[in-house]
Parts: sequence; C-alpha cells; structure tokens
Amino acid sequence: MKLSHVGLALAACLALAACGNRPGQGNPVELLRTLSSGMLKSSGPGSGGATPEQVAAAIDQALKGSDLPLSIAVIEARSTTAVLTRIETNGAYGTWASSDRRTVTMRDGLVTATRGLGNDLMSSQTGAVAALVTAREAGQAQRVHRYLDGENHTVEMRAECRVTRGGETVVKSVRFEARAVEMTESCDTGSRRFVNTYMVDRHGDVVQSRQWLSPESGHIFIQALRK
Amino acid sequence: MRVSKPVVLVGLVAMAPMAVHGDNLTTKSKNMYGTPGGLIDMPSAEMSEDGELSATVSHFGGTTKTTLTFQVTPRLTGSFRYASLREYRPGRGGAGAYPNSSYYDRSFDLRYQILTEGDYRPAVAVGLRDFMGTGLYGGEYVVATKEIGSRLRVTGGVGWGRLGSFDSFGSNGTRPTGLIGSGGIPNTDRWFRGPMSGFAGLSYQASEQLSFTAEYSTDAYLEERGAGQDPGSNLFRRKSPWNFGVGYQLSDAVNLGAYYMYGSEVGVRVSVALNPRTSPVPGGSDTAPLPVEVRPQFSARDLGWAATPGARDTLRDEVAQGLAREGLILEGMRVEADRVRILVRNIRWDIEAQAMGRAARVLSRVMPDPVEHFTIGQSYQGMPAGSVTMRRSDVEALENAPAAAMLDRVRFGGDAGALAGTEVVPGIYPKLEWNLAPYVKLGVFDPDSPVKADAGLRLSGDYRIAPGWVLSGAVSVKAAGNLDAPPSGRTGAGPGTLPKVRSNARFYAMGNDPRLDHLTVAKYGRLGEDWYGRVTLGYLEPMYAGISGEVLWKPVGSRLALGAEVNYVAQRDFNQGFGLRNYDIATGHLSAYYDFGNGFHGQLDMGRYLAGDWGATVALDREFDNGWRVGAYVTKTNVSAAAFGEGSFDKGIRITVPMSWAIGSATRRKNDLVIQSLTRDGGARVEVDGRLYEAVRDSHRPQMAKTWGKFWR
Repeated sequence: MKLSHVGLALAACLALAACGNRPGQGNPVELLRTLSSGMLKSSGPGSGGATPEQVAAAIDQALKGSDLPLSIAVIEARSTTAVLTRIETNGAYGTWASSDRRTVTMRDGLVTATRGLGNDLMSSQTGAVAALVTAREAGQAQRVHRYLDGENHTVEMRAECRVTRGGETVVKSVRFEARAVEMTESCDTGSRRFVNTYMVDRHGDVVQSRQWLSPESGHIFIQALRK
Repeated sequence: MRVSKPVVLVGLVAMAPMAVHGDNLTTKSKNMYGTPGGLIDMPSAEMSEDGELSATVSHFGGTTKTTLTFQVTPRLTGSFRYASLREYRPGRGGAGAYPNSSYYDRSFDLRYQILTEGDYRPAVAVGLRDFMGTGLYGGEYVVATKEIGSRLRVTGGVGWGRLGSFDSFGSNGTRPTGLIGSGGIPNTDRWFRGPMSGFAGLSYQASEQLSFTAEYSTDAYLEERGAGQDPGSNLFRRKSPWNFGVGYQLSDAVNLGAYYMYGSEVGVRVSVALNPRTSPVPGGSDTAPLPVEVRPQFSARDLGWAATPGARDTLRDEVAQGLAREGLILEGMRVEADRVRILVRNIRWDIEAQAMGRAARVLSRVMPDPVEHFTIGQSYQGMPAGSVTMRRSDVEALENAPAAAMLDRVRFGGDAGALAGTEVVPGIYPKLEWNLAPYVKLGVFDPDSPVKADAGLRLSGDYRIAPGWVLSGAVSVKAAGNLDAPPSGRTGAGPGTLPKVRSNARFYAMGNDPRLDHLTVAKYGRLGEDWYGRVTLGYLEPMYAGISGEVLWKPVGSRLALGAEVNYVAQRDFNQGFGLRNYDIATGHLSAYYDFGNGFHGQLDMGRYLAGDWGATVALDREFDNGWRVGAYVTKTNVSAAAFGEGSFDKGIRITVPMSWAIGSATRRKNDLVIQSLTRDGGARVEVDGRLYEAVRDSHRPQMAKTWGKFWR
C-alpha cells in the first residue's frame, strides 16, 4: 500500500519529467505553458480570436471591477484581444496591463513601450509626432524606437513620419460615441515603412488607434472604453 | 615554440574584429567537407555569416562525413569533422578491410580569409584541412573567389596534400607522412609541402533557393581507391576529375546539395545552420515587470517613518513577497531612514541586469517615500557578490528613457561592506531544496562508437544551513546505457603510462546500483573587497573525494580576474559508495581570466593536474551576450606524448546553449556540450561544483553593461 503511494508519486514525477522544490529548475510543464501563452488566449476554432460575446463579457466585468481607465486592444498578427487597465502612471506616461501580465505604455495616446509581447518596444521618442496628432495638424516629424536584438543589445530604429489630417467621423465604442478626426502617420525608416492611424476627438484625446509596434508584433488596435 | 602558439592564437583572435571589414563574400552553402563554400569537394574563399554554427552530413563513395563548423570571426572558420569510411583499407589498399567494417576518423580544419573581396579583387583565403593527427584528409590551399555580377562566383586555387594529389604542376619539397608524437599534434612539417595542383570551380545562383555548381577536383583519392585505379579499388572508382552539383536552400536554416562526382558516384549533403546572434524571440517573452511607482511630490520629507513599531518587519515581508513574484529570493535586508540594502538570490533570470531592474521596481512600489537610495546585492550561495546602487529618483525619472541613461547613473560595487549589517531574512535558513529528475550522461568520443550514453534518475538536494554554508548531495540510479561497454579493438598509440586518473571511467559506469554522485559541505565567503573564497569538503565528484579550496580576486569594474585553487583528493571506489582507492594527490592551479571586450574571453590555468603532471590549460571562447558560447581549450603538461597516449595532449571544443534562447523566456538553465579528444590521464582536473569566477563575473560591471538594455525589460 505504502509502496504504491511512492510508486504513484514517482510516476507523477516522471510524467512531469522532474519534480522537487529546487527553485529555477524550470518545471518543463511550466515552460511549455510559458511558451504557448499568447497575450490573451485566442479562443474558438477560427483564427478570429475571442468571440464578440466573450469580449463583451470581459469588458463588462472589467468595467464593473474597477474605476480605472480601460481600453480594449487587439494584436492583429496574433488575433489576440485583451482588455487593458491603466495600472500606473509616471508623469505623462501611462502603463496599461492585460490580465496575463502584458503591458503597453502610452503617452498622449501614442504607444511608447510594450512588455511581454515579444520583440518588445523598449522605449521610444514620439513627442514630435504626438504634438501633431493631438493638435489634429498635418506635418513632418521624426520618431525613434528602441528594441533588444538577439544578443540583448539595444538597437535604435529612426523613422521619418508624415502626419496628415483626414475627415471627421463618429467613433462608437462599447461605452461611448465620439466625433473624431482621423489622423494618419506614414513612417519610413529607410528599410521599412509603416502606417499608424489615430482617431482624435476635439479635446485632443486619441479615442481609437491602430499603431505599429515592432517587426514581430506588427500592429496593435486600441480603443478607449473609459477615460 | 609550442608554448608560444596558443599565445599567438589568442593574440590573433583578439585582434581579428579590429580588422577592416570589407566584403567577406558570404554564402549559406556548404561543401562536402561541411565548410562554407559553394563548390563540392574543393574549397572556396567564401565565409559564412559571422557567428554561424552549422552541422553538415554528407555522403558519397562509402564515406560519410559529419562536420560542425563555426564562423569564429567574420574571416576565420573552424571545423570539427567525424568521418566514417566503409571497408576502408588503411595504407592505400592494405591488407584487407578495417576489422570493424567502418573506419572512423576525426579531423579539424581552419580557414582564414586573408583578403576580403573588392571591386576588382577577389576574396582570398588560406586553409588547412585535417591539420593534425593522422591527416587522412590533410590538405592545404590558397584559394581566390570573385563574384561576377550578382549570381556567378568563380573560384581558383592551389592545393597541397590531398588537394595536390592529382594533375600536379610542381612540387614544394617532399611531404612527410609520419605522425608527430602520438598523433593529435598539428602536422606543421607537412603544411604546404609536396606536390601542388591547381583546382577551380564555378557556382551559379539561379534563384533565391537554387544554385548550380561545377568544379575541377585535384584530389586523386589515392587512399580510398587503393593502390591501383582498378584492382585495389575498395570505396569507389575515380573516373573523372569533374564534379557537378545542384544546391537548394530549403529554409533559412537548411541547405541541401546533390552531386554527380568523379564520373561514377552520386553525393548528397544536408546542412543545418543557426546563428546564436539572432534569437527566436528578441528580448524574450517574459511577462511584464511591475511598473515603477512614482512618489508624490514633497512626500520624501517625513523621515520619521522608521520609528513606527513593526514597520520594518512588515516592510521586509512585502519586499520578500514582491521579489518572490519576480523570481528573486530575499536573503538579507537592511533599512535606514533614507537607504535600503537588499541581498537577493536570482533563481530565474539568466541576464542579471533584468533581475536588477525587476528588484528596483519592486522597491519603488514598497519602500516608504523617504527611502531614496537602493543597493541591490547579488547573492551567490549566500555570499554577496556584486551590487548595484541607484537613486530612487533616477528609477522614477528614467523608466521610459533609453536604458543607457540608467547605466550612466548607477554605481556598481564589489565591496562586501556595502552589504554589511544586512539582517538575514527569517525563514531563509536552514532550507532544503531538492529535485528528482531524469538524467542523460554522454560519453566521450570513442573512435569506434561515436555515441555512448547512460540514462537514469537522479535525486539531488541542497541544504542551505546558514549564509554561505551549503550541504549538497546527489544520488543517481542508472536505468540503461552503454558507458561501461568495453573499449573497441582499436589500439592507436596505446593508453599511455600515467596513473589511471580518468581512463577508468568505464569501471565507474558499471552496474545499476545507486551511486553517490557527490556529497559535499561548502563554505562561500568574502575575504575582503575584490576577494572571494570557497572551501568544499567531501565527495566532490564521481571519481574523487577530498577537499578543495579556492580564492578569487575580481575587482567590480575589471575585465581581469585572478584565482588560485588547491585540492587534496583521493580516488573513489568504482561503485561510488563511500570507499576510497589507493591513490591520492594534491593538485592546484593559478588561473587568469580575461574578457577581451570584443566577444572573446580567455582563460589560462597553470598548475598540477591529477596524474601529478605539471602544465597549463589555455581556453578561448567566443561569447555571445545572450549566453551562447563556442570555444576551444588545450592542455599541455610535462608528460611525453608517448606517456599520454593517443592524442598526445588533451584538447577539446565546448559549446554552451542557454535554454532561455531556445524557449524564449528567462531561465538560468543552460546546456553544456564538450567535444573532447579521447579522455586520457594527462592534463586531467578534478571537478568541483561552485567554482567562483562565472557567478562573480556575472554580477560585475563589464558583464552586466553588455546587456544593460534588459534592466527595463
């Protein structure tokens, strides 16, 4: 009887490939989980990510759960959807987190950093672009992105960007409606081009945007749910 | 003469990255020898991308070659090859096929691009194939390759040895055939000697994936085809000097080749390449850190907080919990009115800067507002190693700035005094950490049995008694394996005449009874600023028991470290119980470690080895800042080549693969692979866990600054 218990424990250990309490040994099951976890689990058989009902439910729950500012974000390349809560501010920067500990940092509605998305945007200079976008004015500006490369060295990417003003439309989110001007930012790094779009209301707030993050992550779509 | 060679090599490699970077004329293609090049059996002047590591398997005419190639610098390539020749008769069709039906041969190549490609100038490389030992594939060459347009590459060169064995146009003296020593020594007397021939080839890149090749080979294959062309032929018939082929780039990593060779044979080749400089997930996919919490303005004035009863205990618990969520164990803490010092053991992050950044953010969220100065010390086995001191205001102000701004503001300390007075966190000692896991133990390269291994189950544990005191043990049970298989019939130059300090390995692998891998008590401690110490007592490793003491000098900002180790050990019983055999010896080394700062790291150990021989080990590694390492070492001691046995002296290649690179998220686990020449008794050292240098170095400025960008990751 006792022996079979030991046997069971042993079998369990072997099934997990290792067991013990030694820290840092990296239980393979844990590692696998880390490997497979996306920003938010994309569910459903298709590649469309969470169903609208699931998203709505998650949003409702988040809105009720706290009175912090909320946004909804979609990483297009991975079809992952997340509700982001602004968990901290540092001066003009706000850090928005998903429930599975991935964060996006924004300043004046422009993404300046990400953490935990893979190929993260480590820091950036977006002030000149933000000035144009929030003033709803056309113009030229430079932006700088910093990433880590395969050897963990900081690499800088500079882009020349042209901001143009589009028409005014109504942005409808789950919680509010706003009249907003569409601002388009077209950037060129010399070896890569990307386009960001921002819907800016009359207060100069970005209520919805589609912004390019990094070569691996591509674009993120962000819509404000509650300011 | 021989002593100076490693020094010259170290100097050469250390300088290499300073050389002018012209066009290195790189290719993703490999040839039948597994070296970079677009031809088939002939070399070219092409290089791989800097840092690329590749494995190639090729087969033709009864010969299979498996080659590991590393692009050491943009212009230097090193290769290690393992070839098997079916029914080969050594001595050019000698007295019958090799007894075990296949003959195995190991070889090393080196190539250096002496001229990069210019507008009109071809790239020129000098190469040595199979430059030491039996020299079955021995050949030297000077070769030029020029790209014409963007698709066609033309190669022409002059070869000696094998490459000068067909259609030679001249001769540079006579080429000796004897071995130097007992093999394994560079055959300097043969290099560029004897008949020489001119070889040539073309490669044409038809599309991104597809390429075509033709070459004129000057390898007569005298060894493989026997004494005469036809009667002695035992591997293949060489009917023509012309080879033709097609190459295909299947993916970024995989390159394939198919060839029609020497008018009679079909050859095939598969090459798999990876570059340690690129990572599957740049920056890693670890979850986000906690953001910095910024203090409200003017809040830092109330210095009276510390007087609140119980405040410190609550604070310590909060810090410990916050750090635990970030994979850091709080071992010690000391809080003053405006300053906090913590000692943490990092169990998750392979990049120390990342651990520092996570800890700093935890402190910013937990410490009372008046605490402005953070000192975060790194613990190695309970001993404080390096520390980083920063201002909390900088942590707040620079969270969204480039990481270099923070690096400019922090101060690195190696002074144990900075952490003096930290109170040991309750509940940290004593503590048992254990682990039960399967293991695989790979054997050394037996000439006739390339893969030997044992697999089983190992129970290991560390009992942390008090700061710096660790009782450590491991017991394993073998499930299956062939490490105890008797050696094959191949004699080579014999086993040598030294005491059997390592060559009894087979006897230690016999039987399936549980064995004690190690059981030691160790003390780690600081011996002053820049000084570190260790004493380990007990069953140190499977073959030796005894006492080992080490002292390391490593200033926090220095790229140089010096160390000394003294051991007194006795050989353990084959059954790896508690018994000892009748052999004991005092060994020890003086070591110098130097980080060249350009991606190369050198180590020199001088002293007495296990068989009582005196000598030195030189090791040189190319280090990538994500943890990858590729290096080589040589040990030469005062035993004669004859006394050492086959191989003449100990040497090997070693590769470290960080698991974090492979899985994309932080872990301190890594895999070490050592390809050693035959394990002999000369130049052998005792294995001890917990050697100081690596851990201490990782916590110091030169190493942390390389990957400081991870501070904010």
